[in-house]
Amino acid sequence: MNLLPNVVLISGQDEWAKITEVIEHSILPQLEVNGTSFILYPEAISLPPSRTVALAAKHQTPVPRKCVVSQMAFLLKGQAVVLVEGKHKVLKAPIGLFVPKEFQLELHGKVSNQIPHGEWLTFIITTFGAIVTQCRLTSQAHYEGNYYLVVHAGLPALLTGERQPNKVTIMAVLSLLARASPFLPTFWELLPTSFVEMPTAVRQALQFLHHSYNRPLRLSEVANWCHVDHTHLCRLFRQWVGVSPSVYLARLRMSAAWKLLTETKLPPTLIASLVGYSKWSQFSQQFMRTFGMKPTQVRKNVALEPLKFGDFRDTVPN
Amino acid sequence: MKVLPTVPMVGLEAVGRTIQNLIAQKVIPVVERKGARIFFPPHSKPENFGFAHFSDWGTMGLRKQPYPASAPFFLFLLSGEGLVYVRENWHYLVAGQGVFVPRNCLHFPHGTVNNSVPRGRWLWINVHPFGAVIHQCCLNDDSHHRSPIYAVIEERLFWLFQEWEKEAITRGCPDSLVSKSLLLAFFHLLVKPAPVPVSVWAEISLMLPELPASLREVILHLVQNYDAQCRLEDVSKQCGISVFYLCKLFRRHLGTNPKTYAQRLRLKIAKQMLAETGISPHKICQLVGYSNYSYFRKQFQRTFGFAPSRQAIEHVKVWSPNPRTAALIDKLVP
Repeated sequence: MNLLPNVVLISGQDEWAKITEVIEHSILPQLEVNGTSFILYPEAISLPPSRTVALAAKHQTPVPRKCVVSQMAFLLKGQAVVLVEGKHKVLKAPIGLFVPKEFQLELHGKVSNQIPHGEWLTFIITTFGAIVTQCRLTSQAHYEGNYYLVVHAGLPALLTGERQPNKVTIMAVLSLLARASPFLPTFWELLPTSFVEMPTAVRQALQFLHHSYNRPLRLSEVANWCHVDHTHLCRLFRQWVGVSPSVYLARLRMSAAWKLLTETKLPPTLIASLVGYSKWSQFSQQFMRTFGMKPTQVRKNVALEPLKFGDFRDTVPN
Repeated sequence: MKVLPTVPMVGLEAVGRTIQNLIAQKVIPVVERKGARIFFPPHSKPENFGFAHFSDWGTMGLRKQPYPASAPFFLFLLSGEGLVYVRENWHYLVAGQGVFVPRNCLHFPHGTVNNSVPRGRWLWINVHPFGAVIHQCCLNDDSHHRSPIYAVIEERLFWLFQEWEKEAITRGCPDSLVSKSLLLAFFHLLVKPAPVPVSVWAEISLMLPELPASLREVILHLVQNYDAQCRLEDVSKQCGISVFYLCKLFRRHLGTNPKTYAQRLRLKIAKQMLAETGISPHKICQLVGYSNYSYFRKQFQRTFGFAPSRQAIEHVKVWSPNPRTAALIDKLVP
């Protein structure tokens, strides 16, 4: 049973594409064939060899933290020492780890002053979605990969009440992640405050917008969803995100439309309805205003750079 | 064309749990083996085909031409053969195959070949924002029987379905592993919560939007688990509010305490099942979560004013297509 390839995820351009490739082409097939047999539950991990093990890198807390949420981690390459519930365990790739809520966990331990070489892909399932991160360890350093934030109410909802990993649920969670569009790390840094610190109403609004941008929406609908008044929501949104909800929604739709226009061969009128516009004229007007060209011109222009979410933040009139 | 024996639609055939078991035993293994492809069959058109003309068409209130689907749905053929018009093509299906019909897609579920309707047993799974609606349908030459319609209340079904639909329609690859696992998760989730007769759900869903969010959650939880004994502490813990506050909410908005409400809900479901299916009151008593028949009978008598056996006798003779539940389904579509 050795299906996980040794993939090197070097941080840099298009890392999310690589992460989804790993999920779709190595973790999912392995799950399908072998079930969850390669995903360990902390209690099932064998006891460690008697060697001195300590906690790794300097910027980590000396005491293992208690997970407030369930967490999944896949060791793609190399070895690792983990600390679960006060016990050290040595793991060899390829292996997966499922840690339910309220377990203590530390992924990076060291053996006789050396951190084992390893490469982790970690999924932290939070109350609003998931945080996906990839990290690479060498003997000298501890490289942190980018953090990707996926906002999707379905992810935590699927895992509620699950203590033991269940094949179908984990496959579904990973599939949702493989098709999710995360906040780009660059865009995340553009936000004045971190997503986790935002008030619940703004988080819920962002979640709602990201999930249902592809149909006609009204502000009152969003406000109802978050159980706040619409003027209050606008104020909060401006304060924490920087723009009003409607401008944010337009950006979301435009970036999705750009992606569909450049990457697929769907007709532009269909794309307009797919990203949530009911009228073609409205869509093309907004497109013109944002990118300075007509939607139909995009296809003719061959050498187009891939667009990032933050790229056109000044072009949308506030 | 092979003529199949007509499958009688009586007894436990029509209970929601039976339909769920059929999904678990027949649909899930096929999806596991073949992926989402089974819902995208190659289109084929036998000779001399046409639109169906049943003798009791008019009385059923059914349409004779293709019509748009108000909610997206899956069709699955359990046994026999079937002829369906979907996505501007005729699909000829055999047992173990199915069709996916997107929202607003023109479709016609029963075609004829050489003037006779292919006999088959169908499973229907409609997807709505509140969950899914499931029912079974059996066809023979002169009639189109409808079994009672059940709702499975689970919002997560809709989340999963939406993701699957995005994958299947916009990317156009029902073969991918992602699409398969999303569909599998959808069906696995579908067979977990207890199914409720649609008419009961229609009644509850009309009242839900006016209630506060925490109470809504409690009621949804009660509806999902009506067939299990649940304690007040567990319910309040699951929904994140205290027992005191829960009771206060119930008293203020519904005028009863939670225990009475749950009991009435179960009795209402039992009454609907008795009216729509030919199952004995003893079986129904177990299906809705009572262990003691005499206690169930007493409560039923007290609530509705007549015994469960009388409700059963009144309806078992005229058990036949139920246009009322069919009309309710249309009402549920937003």
